[in-house]
Amino acid sequence: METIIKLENISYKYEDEYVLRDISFDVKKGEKIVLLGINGSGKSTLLKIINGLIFQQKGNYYYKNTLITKKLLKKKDFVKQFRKEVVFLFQNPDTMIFNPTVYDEIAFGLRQLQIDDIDERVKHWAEKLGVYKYLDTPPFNLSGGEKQKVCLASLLALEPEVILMDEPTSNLDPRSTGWFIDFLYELDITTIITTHNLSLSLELGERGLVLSEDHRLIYDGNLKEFLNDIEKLKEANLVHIHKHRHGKIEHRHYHTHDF
Amino acid sequence: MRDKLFLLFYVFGVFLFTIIHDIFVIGVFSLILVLLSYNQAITLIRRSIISVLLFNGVITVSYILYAIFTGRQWLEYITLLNLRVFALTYLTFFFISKVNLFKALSFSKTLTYILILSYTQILIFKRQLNEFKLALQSRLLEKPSREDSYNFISTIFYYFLNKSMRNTKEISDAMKSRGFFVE
Repeated sequence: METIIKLENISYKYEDEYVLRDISFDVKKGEKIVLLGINGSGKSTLLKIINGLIFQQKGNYYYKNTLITKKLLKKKDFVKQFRKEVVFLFQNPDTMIFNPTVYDEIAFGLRQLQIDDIDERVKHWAEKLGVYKYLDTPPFNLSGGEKQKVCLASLLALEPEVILMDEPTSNLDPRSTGWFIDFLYELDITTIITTHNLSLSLELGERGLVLSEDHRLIYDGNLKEFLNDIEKLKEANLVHIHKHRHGKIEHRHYHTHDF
Repeated sequence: MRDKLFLLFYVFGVFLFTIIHDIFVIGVFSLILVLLSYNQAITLIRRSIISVLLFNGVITVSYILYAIFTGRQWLEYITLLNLRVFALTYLTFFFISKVNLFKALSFSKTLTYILILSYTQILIFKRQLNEFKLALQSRLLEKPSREDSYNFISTIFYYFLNKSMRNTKEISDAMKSRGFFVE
């Protein structure tokens, strides 16, 4: 399979503090990757680098064998192609929504591409994401889950090659999370999804990338194997320890479940 | 103690720059202030000018136009106004760069709480504003149209206004619950 994304020794600092240290990995076309790590480990920052929104101080990032630089992302033709092909679903959908209606929100990217079948594509993706009935509604009034669906429709309408999703289930109720897992399963594009929810992670992809508390990549491989490796889980601080009771017996050990 | 002394110096400076109406005296005090901040001077001058440029620019131009049409003198008043605003802004930036505000206000529990609350809100809003900008950048395939820019700015304005109002209510309820506002 063709390598679509390649990161070589990426380091990123914010105000003299490391957010990412020496991160290297590559992503093949069509892979579904789960990026695990506790809050503050650098997951969102990594996605922003891959989306060309911020730039590493050290290392190289290649998209389809092209070195991504600040200078390159100022070139109109390249930006147009890159932003169409690599899309980013932010954790808080409120930050992405600014158009007066759901229709305009989904059509926003398509209008910039100046393509002919905008109306058809908007309706298709609205239908697929279950927000068709809201097309004339201002997106601001929708629930968190519905906003998330509108944002997804807006991004997928561009028919991207890579979708980056930052904690996409954090705003969803259990029913919507179930819907999202099914939807993702049918989605046939390269995805990188961040989460710290271990029980959900296996539903989001097969390959896991794990960031440690000190912002290094400590695991790259089969997610199932990682979840069975207690030492690695402890290193990533993704397990917790607490007392619990079985009848009269009380004991204490590591847990991987979410509360 | 050092931070509290600086606070006293700051309050005295604000008082001084407000009551003096002589351009020469304000000019001398401003110069002293710049000399006191010797290695930060260029950064602080630049920051102060950028901060007041738009607001003072509009007022200055409007006043000059008004004075020309009504046949009034404007040079002295406009110079005094701009110099005073610059001096106060410079003093504030200088004060913030030198002082740990939390220590300076530690003599009052209420002021410290208010500072912590304000500071937390500023940090949250700053981070969210950055996310808004990045989210737009991520979705822009070309330069935004005037209508898109207008929609974006008005959405941010509405979002932060709404959020501030919700947060204010929540914070005030939380403070009440912790014993504030009790007569």
